This record gives sequence, C-alpha cells and structure tokens, in this order.
Amino acid sequence: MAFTGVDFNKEVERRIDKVYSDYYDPITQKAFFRRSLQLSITSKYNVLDTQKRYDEIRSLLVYAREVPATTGRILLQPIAATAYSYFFIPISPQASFATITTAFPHMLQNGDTASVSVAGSTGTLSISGAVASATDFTFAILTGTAGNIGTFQSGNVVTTDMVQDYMHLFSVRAAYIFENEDEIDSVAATPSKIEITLQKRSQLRDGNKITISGVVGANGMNGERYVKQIGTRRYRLYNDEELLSPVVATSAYISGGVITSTKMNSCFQLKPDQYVQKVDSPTKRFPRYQMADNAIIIEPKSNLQYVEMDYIKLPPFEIDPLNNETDLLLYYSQEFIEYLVDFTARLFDLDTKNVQGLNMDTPQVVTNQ
Amino acid sequence: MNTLQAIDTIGSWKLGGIYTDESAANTQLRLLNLLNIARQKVLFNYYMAFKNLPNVCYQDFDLDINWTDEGCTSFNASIPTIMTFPQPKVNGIDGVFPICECAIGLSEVQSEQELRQFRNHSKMKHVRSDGWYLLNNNTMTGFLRPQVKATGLTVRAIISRPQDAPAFNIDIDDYPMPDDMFSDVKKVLESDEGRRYMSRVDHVSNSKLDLENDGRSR
Repeated sequence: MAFTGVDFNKEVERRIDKVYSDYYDPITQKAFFRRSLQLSITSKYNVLDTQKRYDEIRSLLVYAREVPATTGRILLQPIAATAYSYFFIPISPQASFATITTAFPHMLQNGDTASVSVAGSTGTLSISGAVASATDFTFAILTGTAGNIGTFQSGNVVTTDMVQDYMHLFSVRAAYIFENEDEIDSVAATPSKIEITLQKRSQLRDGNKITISGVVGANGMNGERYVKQIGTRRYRLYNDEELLSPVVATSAYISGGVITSTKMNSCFQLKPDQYVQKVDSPTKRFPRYQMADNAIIIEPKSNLQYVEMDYIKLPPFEIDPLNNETDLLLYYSQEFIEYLVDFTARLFDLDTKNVQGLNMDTPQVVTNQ
Repeated sequence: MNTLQAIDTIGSWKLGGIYTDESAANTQLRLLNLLNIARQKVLFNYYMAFKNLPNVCYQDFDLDINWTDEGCTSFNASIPTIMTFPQPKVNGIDGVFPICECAIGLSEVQSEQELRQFRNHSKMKHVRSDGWYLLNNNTMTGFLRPQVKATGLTVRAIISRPQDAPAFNIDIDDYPMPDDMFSDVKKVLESDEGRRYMSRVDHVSNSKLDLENDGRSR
C-alpha cells in the first residue's frame, strides 16, 4: 500500500494531535519536512552502530561510487559564481564569450564541460559547454549573443565530475598509478604462455593486476594482465585474477614493454587544525583527505587516478504534504519513515515551543532510535 | 604471519584491538615501527644467546646500483638500515652477491682506506671473493673484480625496518620473524622499556580539545 506525502502529513498531524496547516502553509510545511528529513538522516548517521540503523537508511547509502579525481579535488556542490564578464565580438557575434570567476577553485581544465547558470539585470543565461582559458578561479565559455545579461547578479557553475548528492562521508579510497617500478629484462613468449623476467625483484605478487604497453612482438602481451610469480624476478602472465587462463603469444617477442599498475589505498582524514609531522605526510601508500573549499581534497594528488567514495546521499525525494501520487516507500524504508514521523513531531514541538508535546514525543524518538 | 596481521596483533595488545582512531593510517605505521623496535631487541637477545639468527629474518633484495666507472666495477647504492650485532657477526648482512654466473659473495671491509688497499693489494686481490663493499650509513660503496661481469647486486640481510626493503610488499609478505617469537615481542612491549614506546601519542584536534575543556568547566 502506497504511502504518499499526504499520508505522511496526516500521520504527523495525528502524532502531534494538532491540525498542522494552522501553523504552516504547504510551502513552509514542505521546507519544514525537508529540514526534518535531513536532521533525522544526520541523527541516524551520528549513531550508525547497529545493523538496524544501517537497514533503515539503506536507500541513502552509496557504496563505492567511482569519481574521477585526477585534479585531487572532488567538488561536492555547485560553485558560486562571483563575477561574470561578457565579451561581445562584433565581427562574429556567435564567437562572443563570457569569463566567469568562481568562489572556490573550479578544477576545470581547458576542454572540460561546465554548466553555467547566471542571472543579470537584463536576462539570464543557462549554458553548457567546453571551457577555455581556465585558471584556478576563472574560465571562459562560449555564449554567443545570449551571454549579454546586463549587470551580473548571481550564478553558479556545475561540473560533470561533481558529487552533487553528497551529504556525509563514510570512507574514501584512492587509486594511484605506480609507473616504472618494474622494468622488463627479458620475455619468453610461446604459443602456450608468456613469461617475463624483471630487472629487479618486484613487489608484484600472485594475482596482482598490471598493465603492459609498448611491447613490440609477442602479440597478445599488451593489455591488462594478472601475474603469477614463478621465480625471484620471473612472472607468468594470465588473463584472469584466478590465474586459470594464461596469456599466449602468437608471435615472438621483439622489444619494449612498460609495466604500470594501479593500487587502491584507503584515505584517512587530515584535519586542518591538526599539527602534521613529516612522518604523517600523505603518501600514495597512505593517502589522506581533507574537507575544504566545498570539496574533498585528496593528497597526494600526483598519479591519482580515481576515487571510490562511500557516503550518505542527500534525500532523493522531498516529502510534499500535497503530493498524493508518489509512494515514499519507494525512496525510504518503512522503518525510517516511522522514525521520521516521530522525529518530525518532536521537531514540531521544538519549533512551536510546545514543552508538553516535547516531553511526550522525545521518548518516542529515543525508543525508535 | 603476514605484516598486516602482525600490525593488527600489536594493535590488539596496545589498544585493545581498536586503532581506527583519527590518524589510523599513521597509527598503523607507528605500530609497525613499534613492532620493528621490539623485533630488533628480540633478535639481538636471540643472537646473544645462540650466536645465530633464524633464516626467516633475512630478506633478499636487489640493489639499485649506480656504477661509478665505465667498466662497471665500482659502484655505490642506497641500502636500507641493516641491523647491527656484536662480534663475530658485526652486522646483519649475510651476503652481497653480484648478479652473474658463478657469483661469489663480496667481502665487507671496515673503512674506505681498507677498501682501496684491498683492491690493489697483491695478495688480497686473490682472495676468493668477487669484490669488496663498505657500508656508510645508508650507502653501500664497493668494487667488483674486473673480470666479474655483473648486471647488478643482490643482498641478503636483516633489515632494521623490514618494510624498507625494496620489493617488500607490506600488504602480502610475511613479517620477517618466526611466529613463535611474537611472544617475545609481547614481553618486550610489556616490559618497562616497552611501555615507553607504547605510551599513546594523542593526536586530538585542538578544536575538539577545546570542546572537551568547555564541557568540563561547565
């Protein structure tokens, strides 16, 4: 049976034993529900110590979201634009462009796509396109004549790699490229197997994945391969992690070959007010993250490939007290909605300074915690 | 026991199994340092008692050689810190071998002067070794006999911090110490001397400390 925003509203009114609309109009009420929803999720996040609580907010948990992070920063929300300059080109009006200044580093590189929404005194502009002339805080974007919006008032910039549904973090894992650690000394390529000998002992162990490129001859050797150590410096190549299907060569090895590998390590938080000793400095083996500038900043940033994030996302669907169509149970678990009703009632008591209601509703929230 | 399991074991003794605090990555490194220090003491005591060392404590690694002459006979290379032992062993190096056929280990000398003398000495030139090496802190300097055509050098040694050995895979490789010596490590860590190392270094953020202080003053 569906449970809609209207049902939710009725349930809350039943719990607080008052006609809600006497206090708030539907728009304010919707905003109130939004606040209650966010606070209740945070309340669960703060005490995620039992399976019950994880189960309740299961629809909001994001696991191992892969985010490109080659710049070392993962932006978490649209960036405010602080200035907008339109450059009209009379000879070719279609080539007119605008330069936008952002409040935080936008991490865009020339050629990246950005979506810009700005409002001016005589018009608005919503445009998506490739950026040029990018510096840390500014970039240019082709607008044509539509860019003429008068005096700049406000605006924001959205980039493609932004994690806009981010709410609270669980963990971050960073994948780094390790290049030129191992050099190929010789290759024994046969129709039944390929074995490589490295110049030095390596950290490679059974089942490790490597990427081989630039090999001339030994057709079939280049690509993502798994290794099995068969000697001090000697490894056999496989197609699969289980090391069941050996890589075979259809031609003799001639020369070349570069080995790169990607290793993923957990990041730990670097707090801005902590004293950081040199031994605590982030490394590729022990990377760290810091929250700043509306972004997750990963250190070190060199050789960073991508990041996997586990986090709680923002509520995907707001509770509208007038909506009788959408089933909330498709977005939130039944248990969480029950908790949310209790929590909303308690928050209502707080907002309306209803001490008697608060005394009655608080135990309910605690019980359902 | 692999290295991560060893770290976890030390963690369980030190912090009751929970060391995912604010600086967990560093805590793991610090626990590893703690284990290394205890291992050094345990191995030293073992050597003093039995005048030998367990084979599993040795690590093999290839030197990153910088040849200092065109004929590839003299070299220097960086090397991780090697454990020291009293006579007759002197240090934790078991052997330094050229990577070539029929290699014979290099002989260790105690000074630069000796190194030069041995290279040119009429009799020492004929000692059955492929050359000589000298350890200077984290640098190894040496000479190979002219007829030795080596592509590199490999070392077998007991290293003070095992994770510093090139090619040591901290995620997978066994910690270079017999499992039955971990009880000795525990004894070292629980001794008065060990407690000094085990005192926890707090890494609490200032703001949190302020909050706690505020809480207490109310």
